[in-house]
Amino acid sequence: MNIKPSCDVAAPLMAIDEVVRIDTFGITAKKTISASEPFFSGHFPKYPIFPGVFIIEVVNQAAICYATNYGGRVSMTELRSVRFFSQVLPGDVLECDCHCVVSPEAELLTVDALCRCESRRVASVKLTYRMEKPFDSQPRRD
Amino acid sequence: MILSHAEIKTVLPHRYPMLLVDAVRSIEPGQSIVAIKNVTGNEPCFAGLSEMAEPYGYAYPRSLIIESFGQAASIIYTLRRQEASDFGAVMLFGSARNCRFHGDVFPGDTMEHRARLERKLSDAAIFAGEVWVDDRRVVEVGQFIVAIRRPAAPSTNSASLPAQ
Repeated sequence: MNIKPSCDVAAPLMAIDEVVRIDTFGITAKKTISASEPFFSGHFPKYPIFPGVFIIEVVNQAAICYATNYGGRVSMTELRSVRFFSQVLPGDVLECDCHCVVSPEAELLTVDALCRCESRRVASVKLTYRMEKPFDSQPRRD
Repeated sequence: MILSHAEIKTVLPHRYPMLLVDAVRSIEPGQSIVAIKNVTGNEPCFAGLSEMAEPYGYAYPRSLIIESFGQAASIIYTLRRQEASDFGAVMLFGSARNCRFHGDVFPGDTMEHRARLERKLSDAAIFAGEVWVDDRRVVEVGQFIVAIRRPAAPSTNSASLPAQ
């Protein structure tokens, strides 16, 4: 699918190469970790490891992309939990499968993501967002 | 006790553009720290914004706020370890919980990380704290856990090891 995050917000990296799925239930985003990314020179010199917070960033940009797709705008209010299971290294292809639930009454979007590199589980990320601008069309689960 | 940027580079392995602590205002090794990070419009994260970007687009990424807090917090532990002559361990971001964001950080703001070591285990350190900008508390960090690993220990491709 050729959907990319279109919003003009500060980001430490282009966190999404490709959206492989977007539907009312959520979004799946893919990022190929290139050794030439500028942050690897500092994280860490001689030992490139994809920063854990950038996995959070991939999920965040996927959530923003999901909201944008339905005409909304969201702002992160809580990192409910993040757990890292395995390191992500240059050459890995990171895929974040995000389950999104919209609560229009509470004006909340909750995102639970499982992140893998092929069959290897690398992280679970749970985020909560406040809706700054309501969705144009409510994601339905018919 | 205060630490300059040069001294911070002797206790953290991070380097540009990922060294996100500028100075340490005060530290009680093994207990707590107050550290700062200045955010400027020259940060790489703002370079990709278009001329059309709205003011809210200039909010400093929350992932980087967490990273900066975590680096500040880990100095509490790293410094004590150095004093105990226990070199060689690496600290990796293992997990975090209940980090609540109350406001944004923009170019020109100074983030003040107030972190404390809640508990120290043999292979992990548990921190908590807050991030302030002037008199605004922008983030509450409920729990931030750093895993401590010896470099010799296998650290990749193991499904059970925390990482980053």
